[in-house]
Amino acid sequence: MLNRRNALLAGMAGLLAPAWAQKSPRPQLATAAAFDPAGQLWLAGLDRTGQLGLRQGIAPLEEGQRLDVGEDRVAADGEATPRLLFGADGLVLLSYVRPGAKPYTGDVRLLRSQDGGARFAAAVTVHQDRQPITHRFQAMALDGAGHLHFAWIDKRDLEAAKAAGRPYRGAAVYRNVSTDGGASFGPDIKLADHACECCRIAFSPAADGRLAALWRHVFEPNERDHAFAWLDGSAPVRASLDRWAIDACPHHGPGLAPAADGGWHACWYGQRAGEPAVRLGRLDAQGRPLGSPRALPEAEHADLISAGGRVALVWRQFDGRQTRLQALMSKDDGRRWQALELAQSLHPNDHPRLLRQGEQLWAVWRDTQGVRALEIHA
Amino acid sequence: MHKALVMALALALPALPCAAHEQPFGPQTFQQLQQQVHGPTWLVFSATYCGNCPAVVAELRRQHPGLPLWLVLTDEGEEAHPLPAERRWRFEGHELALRHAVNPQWRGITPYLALLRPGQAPLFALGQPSAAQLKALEKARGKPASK
Repeated sequence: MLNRRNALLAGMAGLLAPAWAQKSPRPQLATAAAFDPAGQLWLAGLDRTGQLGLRQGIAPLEEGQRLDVGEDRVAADGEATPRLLFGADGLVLLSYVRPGAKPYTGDVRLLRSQDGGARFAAAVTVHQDRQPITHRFQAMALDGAGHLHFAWIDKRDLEAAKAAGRPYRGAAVYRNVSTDGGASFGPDIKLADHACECCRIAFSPAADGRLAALWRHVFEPNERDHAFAWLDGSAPVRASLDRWAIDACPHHGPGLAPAADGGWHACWYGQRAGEPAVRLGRLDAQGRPLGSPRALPEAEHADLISAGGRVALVWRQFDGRQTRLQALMSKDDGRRWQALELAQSLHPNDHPRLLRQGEQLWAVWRDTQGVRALEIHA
Repeated sequence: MHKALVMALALALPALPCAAHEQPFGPQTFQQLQQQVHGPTWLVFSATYCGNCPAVVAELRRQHPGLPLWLVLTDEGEEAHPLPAERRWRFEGHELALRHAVNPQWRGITPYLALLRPGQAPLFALGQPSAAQLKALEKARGKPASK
């Protein structure tokens, strides 16, 4: 069960909700979280004034460091989440999407520090493509060799198809690699055609340090299932078989975590035989589905994290009055699961952000009252 | 009082599909709208970055000319091409509570189509009209519609 003595429940931003929490515009709560090499938790996101902030610990972002993003607006709502990463030798990377002047457009931007976050260089655009089109829902991770990987939803092929009068399903996923910690980037590489346009991409490391990606894909003719690929140029494979045929935006990206046996744990939202649910399933080492997934009909915006044989699935569940942060925890690589309730909130709240610190598994959850960092214990 | 005045003014406005005044969609709005309809009415929940929504709205307009179409935006931001709707709202406040007030089963997928009917429970569908919605429309054909 959750060890409340270890749960960091401070950081409540005062007894009264700030004005922005009560009224329109809707609070932009999507928050990045990461542990630094010393094991300290850091957060990055928009504060109540809409400024991008970074801070160590879970006290209000307003009390942290405000980052200079120039004229950039920063998207931080739901699936559009800033990403925070710590590397070796003081490297701190914070990526976000800058919405463009035209709706549906945006660029993936990167702030980079080489002194542990004390100072950041001016934001740069991560991709080579500079068209005013969609480059959104970025994922960012370092592989075992220290190379920095990005992937994002990209509509350049959709726009080209439109211009040529050809049909095109969804958008594409593009990626690139930096071998110098984000100082420069290699070319934009297409990972796949026909991804869903409005869902986050999941990255996860394998035991050998390679990275894999899982995203919502639009299989022919319009089945919004999921695809898996290693970030090494190998071809994507179908990773879920819900066969949810729909022309709609689920706004629900998947989660991916390595299994101790060399395969993967995965979670996603979809409809299977008419039954909508978050589903928890297994993939083999190549990302192909194994067995029947477990359905959680009341869940939404789930994510997964693992450390060896310890696996945690965390999701939000709204009961009409409050949001409950629920979890399934396994200590034996998913053979048996224990249900947990990690926290509750009466207020607008972010999706859960899951982190691993050594062998510890953490859920970071922000609502309009503050941020909670909860160690997940079975 | 002020809210009532705003509502009364909004209801008095002529039906101008693209120029409809945007109102806040709060926890009670869905229930209120169900009581306001005089005939079958589409209530479409959309999002500014929903790439599928414009085509679905256009198809609803094409397939069901004369049926009122009301629009609710569930996020902040500007629409690429404002969708044609006689009345418009935008989510204001706690998104999960607002969605739950519409339908506890709705997980935020857009477009989400509610067919409002006077004196009857709304019918819901994801992405495109369901068979139940189309059957209800067939049954209601000839009855007066909302404005």
